[in-house]
Amino acid sequence: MVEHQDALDVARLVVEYHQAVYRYAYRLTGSVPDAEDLTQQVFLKAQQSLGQVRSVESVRSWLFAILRNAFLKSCQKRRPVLAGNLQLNIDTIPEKCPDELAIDQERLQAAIAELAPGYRVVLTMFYYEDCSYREIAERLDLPMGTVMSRLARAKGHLRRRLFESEGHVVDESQEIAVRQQG
Amino acid sequence: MMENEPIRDPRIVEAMEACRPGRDDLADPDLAFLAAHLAESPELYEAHERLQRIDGALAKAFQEVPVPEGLAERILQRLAPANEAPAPTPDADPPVASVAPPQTHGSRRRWLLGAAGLGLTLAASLLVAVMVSNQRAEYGDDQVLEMAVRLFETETPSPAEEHLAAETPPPKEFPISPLVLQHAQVRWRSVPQFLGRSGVAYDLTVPGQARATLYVVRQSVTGVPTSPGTQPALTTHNCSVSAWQSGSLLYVLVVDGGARAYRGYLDIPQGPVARRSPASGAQPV
Repeated sequence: MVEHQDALDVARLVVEYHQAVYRYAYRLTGSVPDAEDLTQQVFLKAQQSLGQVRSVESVRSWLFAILRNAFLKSCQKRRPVLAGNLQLNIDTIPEKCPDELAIDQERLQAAIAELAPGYRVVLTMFYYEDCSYREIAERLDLPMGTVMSRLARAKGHLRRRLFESEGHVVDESQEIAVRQQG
Repeated sequence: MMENEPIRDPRIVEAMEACRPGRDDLADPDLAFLAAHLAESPELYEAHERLQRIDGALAKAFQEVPVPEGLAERILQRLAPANEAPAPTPDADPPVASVAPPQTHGSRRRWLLGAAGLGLTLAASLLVAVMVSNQRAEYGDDQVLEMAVRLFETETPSPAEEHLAAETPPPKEFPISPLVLQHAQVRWRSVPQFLGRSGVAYDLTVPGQARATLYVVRQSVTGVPTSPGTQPALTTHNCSVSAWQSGSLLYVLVVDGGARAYRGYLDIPQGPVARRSPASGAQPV
């Protein structure tokens, strides 16, 4: 962790945080070159804006915020997102305990990539950053209801893609294509 | 609610999905209605528990992204020329993804640019090497031990933060010390702050035995030995601690117990003797 405000130089930030930023970027972009490029953009932007850091404790969140903004800005095409009807089918929650669950990383990333950027960001903040719905709402400046709705739909989508058995056909007609709202 | 019947109330669904694994989100006043529903319905409670488990597994899976080798160096290489560019306005757009090399004429200019690039590369690599491996002492050995105990006693890592070392290799920059007991159940997690630096904590705890954590950070501390003693360097009312230096890495072992429990987690070679296996039947790595 960076120790003093005056010790905030970007090279130190790179050494300390490049891995966390890259992992986050990979989850958002789903591609190694895109994630690396986004990571580089984050530190370039950080270099230009070091004065904006309010406290050394918030450096990680600050870098993640730059990352999210850069990612959302790069998503020029607004794509439809598959958003399931909002009901929780208990059958789709696996019964195995987490230790037994081998989550297929490729399927996970493919499922994330199917989501529109706004949903992807909320989902990644929840799972990767361990943010509460309140924190997500505050940081993205979104109403809490919007965050909760996006979170529920995105998580449901992820589980359907990851855990529904191959014999269990997802009723695609139940999935409503909606335009991502930002 | 009937078993296996979908939960149709969007308010309940959204509230359940908003609860993070291993966190006390149900204490949130805005989610109190969900806590009440869970208390009333065993089926709903069971579904919530399953959701929490699967969310824990997903949170762990989200962290498992391999980082390309040499990424830090490549970033620093790009930052070096950007440093010399005119200062951008605060709300300037992020720079474009790739920077095309300048088109010039004349071999002398190309040579100069190449030499400058090589110099920046070397400077960036040197900077990384210096920052990572030569961070100087800022703490005394007593402070190190006390801060480790404080961290050990106060931190409450969630399962989602921990990785089984046998399945997910720990970061190469923070390897486990060969001088501690290693077994198949060893878990690791990132530590955002210890002695002012980020590092890794290895949970060495053998099931059924005293809790033990090995902290690793890149820090040089004067007065710290190069291997752990058979007696802890510090014993508090309930913890035994030792620190040792291995190159630029500082290791601090904290064990919840006395000297005997502490010794149980050491694996110091005593001569031509094979490494020990933990008593509880855990398999050595």
